[in-house]
Amino acid sequence: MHEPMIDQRAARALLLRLLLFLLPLAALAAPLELALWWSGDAWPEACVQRLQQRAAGEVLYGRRYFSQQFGVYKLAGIRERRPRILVAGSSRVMQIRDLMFEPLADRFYNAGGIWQNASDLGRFADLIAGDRLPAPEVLIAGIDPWWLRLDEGGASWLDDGDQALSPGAHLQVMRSILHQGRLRELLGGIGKPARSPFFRYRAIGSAAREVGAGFRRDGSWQYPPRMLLDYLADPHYADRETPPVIERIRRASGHFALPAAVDEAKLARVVASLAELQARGIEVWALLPPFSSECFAALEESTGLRDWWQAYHLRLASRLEARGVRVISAPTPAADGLSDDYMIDGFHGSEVYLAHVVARILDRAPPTSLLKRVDDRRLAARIRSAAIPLAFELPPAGR
Amino acid sequence: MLFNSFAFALFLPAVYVLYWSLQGRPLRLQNLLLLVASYVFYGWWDWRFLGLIVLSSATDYLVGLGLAHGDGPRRRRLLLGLSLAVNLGMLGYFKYEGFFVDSLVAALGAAGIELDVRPLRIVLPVGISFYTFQTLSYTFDVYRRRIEPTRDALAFFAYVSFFPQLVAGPIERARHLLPQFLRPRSFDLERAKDGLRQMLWGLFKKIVIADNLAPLVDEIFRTHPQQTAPALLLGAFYFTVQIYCDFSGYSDVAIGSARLFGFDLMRNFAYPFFSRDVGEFWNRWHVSLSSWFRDYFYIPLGGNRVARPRYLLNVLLTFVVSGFWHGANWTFVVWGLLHGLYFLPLAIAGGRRRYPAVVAAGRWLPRPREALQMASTFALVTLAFIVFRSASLADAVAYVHRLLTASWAAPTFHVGLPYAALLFAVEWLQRDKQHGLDVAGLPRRGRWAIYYALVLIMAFYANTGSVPFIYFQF
Repeated sequence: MHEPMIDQRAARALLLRLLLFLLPLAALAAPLELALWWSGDAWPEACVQRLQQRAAGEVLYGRRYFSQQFGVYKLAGIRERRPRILVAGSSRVMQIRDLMFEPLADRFYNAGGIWQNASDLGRFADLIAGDRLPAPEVLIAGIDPWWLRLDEGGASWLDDGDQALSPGAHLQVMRSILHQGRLRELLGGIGKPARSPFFRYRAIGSAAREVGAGFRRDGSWQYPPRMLLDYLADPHYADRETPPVIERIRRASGHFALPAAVDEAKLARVVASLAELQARGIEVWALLPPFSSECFAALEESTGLRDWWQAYHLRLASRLEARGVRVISAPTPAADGLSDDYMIDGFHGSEVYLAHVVARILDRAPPTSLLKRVDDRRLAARIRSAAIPLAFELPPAGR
Repeated sequence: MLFNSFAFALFLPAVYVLYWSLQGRPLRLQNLLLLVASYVFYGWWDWRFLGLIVLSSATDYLVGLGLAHGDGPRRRRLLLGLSLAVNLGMLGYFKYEGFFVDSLVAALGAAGIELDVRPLRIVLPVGISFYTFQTLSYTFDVYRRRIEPTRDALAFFAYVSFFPQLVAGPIERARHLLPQFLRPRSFDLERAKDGLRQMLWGLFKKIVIADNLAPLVDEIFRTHPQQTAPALLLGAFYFTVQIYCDFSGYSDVAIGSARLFGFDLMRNFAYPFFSRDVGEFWNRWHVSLSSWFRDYFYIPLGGNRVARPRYLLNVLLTFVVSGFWHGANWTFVVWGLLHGLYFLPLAIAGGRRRYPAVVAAGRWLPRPREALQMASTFALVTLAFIVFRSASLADAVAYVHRLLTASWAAPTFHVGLPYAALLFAVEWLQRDKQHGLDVAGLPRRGRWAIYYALVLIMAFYANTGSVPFIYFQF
């Protein structure tokens, strides 16, 4: 028995030496991990959702160092909240809020950001069909024109793993913190209370804690309150995207690059997915979200983008209607008698403008629809009492 | 389970601790642990395909026993045929079904016959080409009475599925690896430490060099019709470095982790980019596969002990079939054929190994003639890898055509050059050692400084996306 004992001791010694070697590296990484954990950035999305949905008050969630991973987060939100009224789409529908659907606010969820392309929509429909996601009774589905482009978005993001659970992502985050020189800032957050500036919501994640931006528990997006205060100082429309959307259209870059060939398969997939959801008994509203007037005009005038733009605005709408899916088009605020002051930027409508769009949906809802139980007068009153075109309420002065 | 994953970083120490805690207990307990661990390792990817490993192992185990009990040549041939049918049948069905169906439909279509048959597009089980060849080597050796068949089923199943080399080799021979499962292993601290060093170097090559070159290669090959000639040259060069670092990196981790368990795996790569001719290249590149084809395909065909035309045909056939082993695409066949053609002049000249020793042994720099030989061999290998990497033969031809006709504008994509330079520098300095991090002779402080430097470079520059190993698809 002598040799086996020597083997075991030597094997153990090697392992200990390896641990000793790794110790300084772990000591270097530990404070960063602690800071990421303290800020809430490193919390798994499912845990965040559980906390948000079960908390008594508002809980704002905005990661800064890890990717927001809209798909993972919003899927967890739908599973946790099991909404009867669901908004889904890209960031362009994130301003639709629960307070627009009183008294069904607690049965509403905004999954804006969950679909970044036609594959995401298809995957979402598959999950519903396979009973792997609770089906809502009403679905307001925001569709973006770039989903129809031949050169955009192949695979779905919905099956991605949570970055908070990926050691590789943690390493990547630590690297970017060091590269961006944010180490002191992040470490300085340890021990500080977890409240967002201005609104003083409970905050999870660095973006929520530092600038007050993030997802509310209903899934809608809270822009940084500083932006709303800036509007008060200069109460006019500004394209606040970086770079501005109008520039992207004029320079034909990003989603508006040339040539803008239409992928008929993607168009067919969008139509088929929504029709399939409707066939499963879900009341589907296809929403074509707004552009600012100048962006809309630029898109209408662009000869290079014309085919693609028309495929979205005309062909998609008519094919959806032919399959029995209701289409709500919100081309610009002007269609609802409003100015571009109601736009956050070139392609994000404000919550007040989207409340007008929701009012139109309520108006068109069939008598048997769940939406008929929504109090449209309360919504109208809320629209009338909105503090500014961009938001229903303003943050209290001071942080 | 990928070697470059967090799961493996937890799995390996756990198995290591359990394994050595069983030291001194009956050997079968350690073998059982390795078998279970190997099946967990494989099942992590897709447990449904574990059945194929079990089927392949059981077939060759029973065939081995059958060969032990039967002396009649007919019965022996029948048993060998059974093993070949099961293993090559599995390979053919899972790996080549689509290729054969597509090729048949295309050939008949060219002859004016329309055939409405579509391939099944079956998922390729990871590592199937490796473990079927490993288990076949056992049957071949038993059939040729080079080894005695084993009755220890546990040892045999563990030998076929040994997790360090299960999914991408080295493809071990039964006569080398199986006896190691049949006798007690002992822990050799120095060898285990060297195993850890080899793992570190393998991981470095994979996640720092190969994975950082991968996006550049993907981009250049995807957009080759628009690229300039220097960019296309870089694309081919990067891919040659990428596939080497990817595959030899895997082999290093495999060999290193096997050493932690007291096993010795065969060397799979020996600084192939410093080869002076294609013959030397194949003695240094994927050695376990090239020697497998030599022992079980080329020699049974008659090798060089036949008439010269037949000998040359044997050479070509061996290269073509080994190319086809890599995948169900004509690109791999042509890649093998190209290497066969490169090798033919050497075969005609006598076929002897001209360069058994490492280049410039005992010198810092090669002689001009050696440098020229290495550069020309590298260029030939790189040219062939364009075909290997291309999605189709038409793409490969277009790539080469564009390379010869595109403008020589200032090169882009040069961000990958430091990675390649680092590889060549380290490998040149270490070319007479077993692996790139064979630094046992240095003082401890020097060694630890190198380890920390590598780990920190990995922390800051590794591609963190857990990119799968290229050879998994073969």
